[in-house]
Amino acid sequence: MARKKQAQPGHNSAAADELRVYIERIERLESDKTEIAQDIKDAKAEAKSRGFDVKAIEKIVKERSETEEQRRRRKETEDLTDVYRAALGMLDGTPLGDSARERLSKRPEDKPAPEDSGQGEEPATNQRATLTAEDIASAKDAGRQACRDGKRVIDNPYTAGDPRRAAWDEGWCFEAGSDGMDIPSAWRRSEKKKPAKPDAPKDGEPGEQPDDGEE
Amino acid sequence: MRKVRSISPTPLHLSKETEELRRALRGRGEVLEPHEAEEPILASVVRGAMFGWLAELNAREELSAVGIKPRASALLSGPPGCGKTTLAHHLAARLGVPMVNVGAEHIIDSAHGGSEKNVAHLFNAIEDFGKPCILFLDEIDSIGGKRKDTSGDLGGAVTAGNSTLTVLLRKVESFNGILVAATNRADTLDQALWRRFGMQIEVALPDDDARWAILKRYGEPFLFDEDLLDCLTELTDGAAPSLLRQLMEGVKRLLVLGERIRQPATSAAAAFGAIAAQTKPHPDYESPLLWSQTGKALEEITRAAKGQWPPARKEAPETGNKDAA
Repeated sequence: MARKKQAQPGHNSAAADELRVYIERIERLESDKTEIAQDIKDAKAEAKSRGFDVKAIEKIVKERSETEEQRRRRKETEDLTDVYRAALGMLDGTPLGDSARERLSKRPEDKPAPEDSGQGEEPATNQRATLTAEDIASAKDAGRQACRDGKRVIDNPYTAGDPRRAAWDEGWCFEAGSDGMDIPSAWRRSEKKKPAKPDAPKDGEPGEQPDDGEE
Repeated sequence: MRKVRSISPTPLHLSKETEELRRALRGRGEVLEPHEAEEPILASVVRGAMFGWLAELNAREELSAVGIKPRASALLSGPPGCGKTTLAHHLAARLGVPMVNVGAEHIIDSAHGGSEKNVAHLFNAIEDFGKPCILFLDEIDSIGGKRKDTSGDLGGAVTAGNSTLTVLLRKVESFNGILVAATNRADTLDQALWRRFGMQIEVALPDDDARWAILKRYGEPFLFDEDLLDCLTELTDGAAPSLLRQLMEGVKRLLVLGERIRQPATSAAAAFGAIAAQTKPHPDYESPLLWSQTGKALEEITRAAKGQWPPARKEAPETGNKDAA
C-alpha cells in the first residue's frame, strides 16, 4: 500500500522555513494562552477580593457559553433534580427551594399574612413593642372579614405569639357569634329539622311544625 | 424530560420550624402542623372550657400585669374516639403552633432506664427548641398510672414504671410550655400527676347535634336524606364519634363496592344492618339502639329513608390536581 508522502525538510530548505513559521506561530499562541489564563486568574482573584464567589462566577460563564441544545439539557437536569429533592424533603435552604416547598405544602386557600411585609417569624417578638392599637383593631377587622368570607378560624395569618393573632381570632369569633368550635354549617341540620322545643315556639312561620310521620 | 406527575410526591407539610422540632425530638414524638387540624365536633361544655383557656393563653401579658399566669396544662379524659386528640390539635391550630403528639411507643424503652431518659429528653428537647408548641401526651395512663408498692418482689418493670412516673412528675412540674394529656382511664392515673394539671376536662360522648354533624360529615360525599340522618342520630345515642365514623364509612364502602363483593346495598336498612353487624361498641359501654335492638332500629331506618335509596352523590370539587391521581 502506498504511504502518503510527507514533507521531508532538508537543512536550509524552503520546507524547513515553512515549518519554523508554524512552530513559532504555535509557540506564540501558547504564550498568549498562558497570558490569557493568567489574566482570567487575575480577574477571578479581583472578583474574589471584591467579595464575589468565584465558583458561582465560573458556573455563570460556563452557562453563558452554552449552545441552545446544551442549555435545554441543563435545564431538564436541574428541574429533575428539584423534583428529586422535593420528593426527599430536601428543598430547604435556598430561597427558590423554600418558595417551592412553601408552594407545595400550602393549600390553595392559604394566603400570606396581610400587612406582614415579609417579616416572617419575627413580628411576634420584634414588632410587639411597635404595634399600635390601630394595628390590633385592624387585625380584628381582618378576622371579622375572614369569617364573612367563609374562612376557617384556624386560617389565621398571623404568627404564634403575635398579639394580632389573638385579635384576628377574637374578630372571627365575634363575627361568627361563636367560639370557633361550632359545628360547621355544612354539617348542621336545618332549623326546621331540629326537634321543636316547647319553650321556644316560633309564631307565624309556615312549615315550623314538625311533619314527621306524615309519609 | 421525565414528567413530574410520574413521580410519587412525598407530602411536604413540614415547615422549616416543624422540621427543626422534629429533628430535635429524635423520634420521641410526632409533630403535627397547625394547618392540619380538623374541625372538632364537641359538646358545648367542653367548648366553653377550651375557649376560656384559649382566651387565657392569648391574654398572657394582661394576666401577668395582675400577677397571675395562664394555666398551662389540661388533662382530657373520656371514652375512646371522642375527639381528645382533635381537640388538642385544634387548640394548637388556634394558637398557630405545632403540636408534638407523644404516645407510649415514643417513651417506653426495653432498656433499663431508657424510658426515664426518653421522658427527660422529650421535655428537654421542647424546652431547648425555644419556640412555642403544644406537648400532647396521648394515653398518658400508659406512663402515668398510680405508683405501685415495690417492697415485694415485683420485678424490674414495676420499679421502672414508678421511676418513669417520677421523672414525668418532675418534668411536668417544671415545664414552661403548654401541656395537654389525654386518657380514657382517668381513674388509674397517679394522684400527684392528676394534681399537676391546671384543668381536668371530660370530653364526653357527642350529643344529638354533634352526632348528626358527625354522621353527615363522614357520610359525605353521599347526600343522605335529613330524615334518615335524624333517625340515625336517635338510633346511635351513646355512640362515640369513632364508631359513627366506622358506621358511615362502612355504608359508603358498601355503596361503592356492594355489587362487587356480593353485598349490594339494596336498601338503607340492608346497608346499615350489614355494617351494624360488623361494628360494635365496646361491651363496657351501653349499646346504642342500632346495636342493642337492631331489628326495630332497621325498621325505623326503612321508614325514615322513605324509599329514597341509594343517596345522591355530591359532585367532586375541582382540585386541579388530577394528574397526581
